[in-house]
Amino acid sequence: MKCPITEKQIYLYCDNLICEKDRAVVKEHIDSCARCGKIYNAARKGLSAFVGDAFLEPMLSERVAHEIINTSLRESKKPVKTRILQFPKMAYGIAAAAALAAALGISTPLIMHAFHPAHAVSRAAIPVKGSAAAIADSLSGEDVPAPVSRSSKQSGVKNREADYGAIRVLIRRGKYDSAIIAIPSFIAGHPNWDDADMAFSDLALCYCRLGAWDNALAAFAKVSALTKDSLVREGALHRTNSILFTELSRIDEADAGVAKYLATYPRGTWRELEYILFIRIKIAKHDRAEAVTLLKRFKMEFPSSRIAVNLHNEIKQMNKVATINK
Amino acid sequence: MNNELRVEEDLVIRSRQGDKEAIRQLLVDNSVMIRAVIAKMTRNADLQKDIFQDIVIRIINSVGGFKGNCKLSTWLYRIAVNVALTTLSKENRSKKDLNLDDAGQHVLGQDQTIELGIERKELFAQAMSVVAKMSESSRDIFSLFYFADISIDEIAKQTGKSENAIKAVLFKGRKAITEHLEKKGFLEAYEMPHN
Repeated sequence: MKCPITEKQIYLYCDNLICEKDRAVVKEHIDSCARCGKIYNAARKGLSAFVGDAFLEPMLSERVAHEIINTSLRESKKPVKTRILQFPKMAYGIAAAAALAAALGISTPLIMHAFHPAHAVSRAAIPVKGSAAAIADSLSGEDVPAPVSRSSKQSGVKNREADYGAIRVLIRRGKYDSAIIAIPSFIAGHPNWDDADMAFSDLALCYCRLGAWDNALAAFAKVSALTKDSLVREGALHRTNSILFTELSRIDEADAGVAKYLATYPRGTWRELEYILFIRIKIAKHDRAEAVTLLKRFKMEFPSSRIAVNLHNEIKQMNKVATINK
Repeated sequence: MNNELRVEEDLVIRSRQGDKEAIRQLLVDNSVMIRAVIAKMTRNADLQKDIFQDIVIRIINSVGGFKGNCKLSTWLYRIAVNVALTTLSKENRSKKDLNLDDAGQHVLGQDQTIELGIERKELFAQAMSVVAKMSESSRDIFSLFYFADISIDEIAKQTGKSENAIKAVLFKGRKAITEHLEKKGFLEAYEMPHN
C-alpha cells in the first residue's frame, strides 16, 4: 500500500520545517507505519550526527576571544589608516560641511570634466551642476549641522580630516552619487595630499556600489598610480581583475591582469582568489589544458583550499559541454 | 536606513579600507555569534581557540573583499562555518578530538532523545565528509541553516532562492548524510523510499 506521506515530508518534520497541518498527518503516520518510522529514526540519527547546540556547549570565553582578536590585529600586515577614515566627532561637523561646500564651489566643474567624460556612469544619476548645493541639500534635513562660512585657506590637517569626514558621512548614508562628485573635488582642492590614494579607493567603491564598473576601474587605476603602499596597490590590481572578469567579461584583459598579479605578488594577500580567477578565466576561454595545469599548481600552493574541488568540477563540466558540442 | 545599519555600514566601509580599529570593533561585535557557531561544532576548548583564531585572521584578510551583496552577519557566518569545517576536517584527518557529545538532543526534544554513544565522533566526521562533498551553493545553504541557525526565509532572501528550493537543498543534504551513515553501518538499514 502506498503511504500518504513522502520521504521529504518525514525529513522536514524531523527538522521542524513542516507546516502545522502536515505535521499532524506525518506524526500520525510515522507512529503507525513501521517503514516510515524507520526512515524517521534514521533521519533523526543522521541529524544528531552533526547538529549541536551552542547554548548547551561550552563556548570560548569572551576574554580569550578578545585576546585573540587583539593579537591577530597586531600581527596583521594590513595597513592602519585611521588618520582620515575615522568619522568626524560632532565637534568637527560644522566646519566639515562648510569647508566641503567651499571646496566644491571652486573645483567641481573642472574635476568632473577631467574625470567623467570618457566613462559615462551607467546607473547613477549624477548632478553635474550645482554640486555644492547638492551636497548641502543632501546633508540638510538629517542630523548634520548647518554649514558655517569659513575660508578654505584656514583648513589645516585637522580640518582636512574633518572635511573628508563629511564625505564619509555621504558614503555612510548611501549617497554614493554625491560622494562621487565630492571626492574628486576634494582631491583637487588638496593637492599633494598624502591620502589621495585612499580617497580614490573610496571613489572606486562608490562606483562599484552603483555598478559603474568602467569608472571604478579608472578610480582603481588612480589608486594604483598614487599609492605608496604596496598592499593598497595589490588590492587595486586584484579588484580591477575581478571587475574585468566577473562584471565586464573583458576576459583577455582580466587574463593579463591576473597573470601580472601572480607574477608580481608571490605571497600576495589575494593570491588564492587570483588563482581561482585565473582558472575560471581559462575555463571561460575554453583552454582546458591551461586550466588543468593551473589547478595542479593551485592545489600545490593551497593544499587546504576547499575551492579546488569546485574548480575540478567546473573543468569536468567543461569537458562534458565540449563532448556534447562535438 | 536605521541607525544600527548605518553604524554597521560605517564599520564595514572603514574595515574594508584596512582601519584596524574598525575591524576590531566589527570582530568584537560579532564575537558571540562566531563563538556560538564554533561551540556547535566542537567542544574541544583548544580546538575552539584555534578555529576562532583562524576565523579572525580570515576575516581580517578578506573584509576588503566583502561586496556588501549580503548581510554582514551572513557573510561572517559563512566564513566562520567554512573555516571551522576546514579546520575540523584537518583535525579529523589527524585523528584528533572531534566532539559533539550531548549535542543534538535539543533538536530531537527530550521525549525523542536517542542513544548518543561513543560513535558520535566518528558519526560527525562521516557527516562532515558528506557536507564537504556538496556543491558550493548547497554547502552554503546547508551550513547557514544547520550550523549558523539562520532561518529559512533569511537564507531565501540572501540567496535569492525560494523557501521551497532551500528546503529541497536541506532535504537532499540530510538524505545524503543519512544514506552515507547507513552505508557505513552507523544506522540500521532501512528500506528505500516507496513514494
